[in-house]
Amino acid sequence: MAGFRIVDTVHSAFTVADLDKTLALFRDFLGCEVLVQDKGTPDVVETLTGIRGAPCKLGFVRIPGGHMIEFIEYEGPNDRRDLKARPCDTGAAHIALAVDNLDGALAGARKAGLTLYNKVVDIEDEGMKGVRSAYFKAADGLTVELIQWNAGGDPFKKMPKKN
Amino acid sequence: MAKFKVTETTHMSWTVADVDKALARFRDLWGFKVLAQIDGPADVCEVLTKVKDAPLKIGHMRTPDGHYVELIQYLGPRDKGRVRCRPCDTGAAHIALGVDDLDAAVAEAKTFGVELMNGVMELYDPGLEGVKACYLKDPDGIMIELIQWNRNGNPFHAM
Repeated sequence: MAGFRIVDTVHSAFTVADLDKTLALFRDFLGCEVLVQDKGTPDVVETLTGIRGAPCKLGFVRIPGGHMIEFIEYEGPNDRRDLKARPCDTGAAHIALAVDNLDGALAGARKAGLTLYNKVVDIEDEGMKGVRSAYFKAADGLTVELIQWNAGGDPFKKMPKKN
Repeated sequence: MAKFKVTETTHMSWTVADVDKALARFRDLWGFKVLAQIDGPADVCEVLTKVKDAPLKIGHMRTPDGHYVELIQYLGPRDKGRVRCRPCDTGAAHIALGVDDLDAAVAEAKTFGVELMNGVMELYDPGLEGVKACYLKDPDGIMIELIQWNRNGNPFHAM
């Protein structure tokens, strides 16, 4: 018997190179709500992560449906780098968002700073016919998957709710 | 006028070295529910990501409060690597979970190979007195932040 339990999902988070650009992408293109912008002090960053000399800028965004994302722009240390991870590399992350019209999103994506990895996949499997999905890379290296469900909706959200 | 709208978050997703081991860890340590395990064909993976020769093993999970996390094991290509990231590196990701007893969670995590990255932070700011947080890194390099709120709960929930 574990001595603790997880009570909620507080947020997902990504480190970005330019917080203002990322917040603009999520607010103006993806329709998310910017709730709070804040600063992180180097002592807090060091206590949590062991990284020294790193003040940071934080932005908290609420996605339609309620999930929170935290974006962090580190302003140090000088040897921080861009991960340039491929999706196949262990530890790579992405966030998937449902959209009502993937073609509509595709039409404005490039201008908004989202570049297609490759192409849209159209699923043909039984029960999933009509589901479409695409992977995008944001200017900051963040990977965003956009999914358009068919009339059946997200199958995982139909499963019994109790864990 | 936008031509589309985002309706909800489908999932957060991480690439892992061994999906069976990772699912067991999230289930047994963090109490996530495993909803489905499916195979992803290499052709679909290539259309989506341009990564060739990579059939996938995919696991879908639900957090105790109803968010969704996907774990993907790429079975190729041969030159797939491992992200050795620090939180300050652009593209680094984490998931933050609220916990009722942070110290007990950190102790339990260690037995699963999920290690504290540095220390536990305690807040003293007005309204946040007693809030504790820490960063952990698991064997797949997934960073997990644990937060123990005080009696006021998560302030974002009130917004």
